[in-house]
Amino acid sequence: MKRVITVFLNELKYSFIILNRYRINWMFGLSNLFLSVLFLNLGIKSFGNYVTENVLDLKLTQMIIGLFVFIVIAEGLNNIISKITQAKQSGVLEQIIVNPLGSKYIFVIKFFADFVIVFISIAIIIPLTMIITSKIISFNIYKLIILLIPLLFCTLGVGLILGGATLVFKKLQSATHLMQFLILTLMVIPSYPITPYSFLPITVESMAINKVFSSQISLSFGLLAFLYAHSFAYFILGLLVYSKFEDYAKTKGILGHY
Amino acid sequence: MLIVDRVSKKFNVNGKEKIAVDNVSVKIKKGETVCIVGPNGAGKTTTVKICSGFVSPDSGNVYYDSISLLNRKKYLEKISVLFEGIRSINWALTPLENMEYLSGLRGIKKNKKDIEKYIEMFELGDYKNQQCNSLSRGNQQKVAIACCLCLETDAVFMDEPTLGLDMEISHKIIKILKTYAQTNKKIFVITTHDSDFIEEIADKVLIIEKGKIMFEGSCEEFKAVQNTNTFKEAYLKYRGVL
Repeated sequence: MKRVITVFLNELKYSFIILNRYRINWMFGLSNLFLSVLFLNLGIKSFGNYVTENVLDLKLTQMIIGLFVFIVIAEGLNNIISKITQAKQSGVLEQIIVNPLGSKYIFVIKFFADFVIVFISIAIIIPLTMIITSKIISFNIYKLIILLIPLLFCTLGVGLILGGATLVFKKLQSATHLMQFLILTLMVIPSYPITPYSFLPITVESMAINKVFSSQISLSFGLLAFLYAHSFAYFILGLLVYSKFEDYAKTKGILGHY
Repeated sequence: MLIVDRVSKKFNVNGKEKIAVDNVSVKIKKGETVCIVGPNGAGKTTTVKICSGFVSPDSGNVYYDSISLLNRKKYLEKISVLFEGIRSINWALTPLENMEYLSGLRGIKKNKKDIEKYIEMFELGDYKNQQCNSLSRGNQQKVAIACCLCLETDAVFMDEPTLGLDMEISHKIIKILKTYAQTNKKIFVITTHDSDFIEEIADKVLIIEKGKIMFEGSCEEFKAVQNTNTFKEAYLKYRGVL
């Protein structure tokens, strides 16, 4: 455990060093996101001329929460896949593969360290969004953490599956720009009350956050149990699939080839 | 002791089966530096990659002090690798940061004093706080090797550590590695085409061709067998070029 903490703190420290060194890139990324929100808000406001105030209020709330969930998933997935691809394109992957902790656990630790940075971006973007939309949502922090854990583990599971696949299928990275459409689709698929779609990754986790924080449903024990079982199942599946891809790449001798 | 026990590996290249490593066995004692030599595609890198758990063998096994490669976690504690030279460091970081980062990635917390020792050893003092992307190729390579050594593992595997370097830098790296290997009693397994490197540093030379070990012995023994004065001549004569 001590070693895991050392690796995590090391990753966190260097994520901040890199962020600081390339802060202009980061700020441009944030500005892009901020402008998208601004235009989205204008769109919803003009749509608001044709609906009642309650509907508009709900749409704005859902947009803000949806944005939060989207950033968590998109950045989470992007971080893990791009980390693997970058490591592969440089020679750092070798240092990760021959790490006694095991490469999959290193990528899990990297994911959580990167999430701290993602959370900083969220902490800047979401309040700004609330100010622009004049829609203040009070986030119950405990509720948020309880709902965020399954979302993170499910995202991590999917990230490990896709990241593992990039170890074998090198051209997969070029298709990752399509990933955001997949995420958006999964976010809006009706998954609550439980339907067959709820078993798809990310669906029920993102839906739960959206519906709970827009006060459309209350957080029940049954829902929580399903969320945790669903997300940890995807996390474990991610670890298993990643290991299979890594073993296959080691057998074929293609781990370091890019 | 590092024991490579009847290791074999085949690859499928364009539908054809190619033997990369063919029943290779070798024993390497602590403090020994072994250079693996052979033509391109002979299986040198694959052998080293198998020994470092980067490629799975089809058959055979590797042991370090009776710890099997299959006991991955314990085995990997004992080794460090440098395959991609300058590509294995983070160019956005400084030499100091790279050493601290790569140690931390293995869960090893290095203090500044420990790292400074390697900075001094590789004469990187003037560049220690400069981002690696602005360093010369030679200094980047020094950083990569320093990062590998500062993990202080019992065995070190390197793939062509002096590839593409000028004579001066290459000579410095050879001297550093030689001193380090002799002082610290580590196992070094190095693939190389650099004959000066082999003459200077190798306690044992393995000549590999088509995945098979064709010669195992000291540099002097190889020169005596080929009746030449230098390793370069001996190797070229052996290959039928001279």
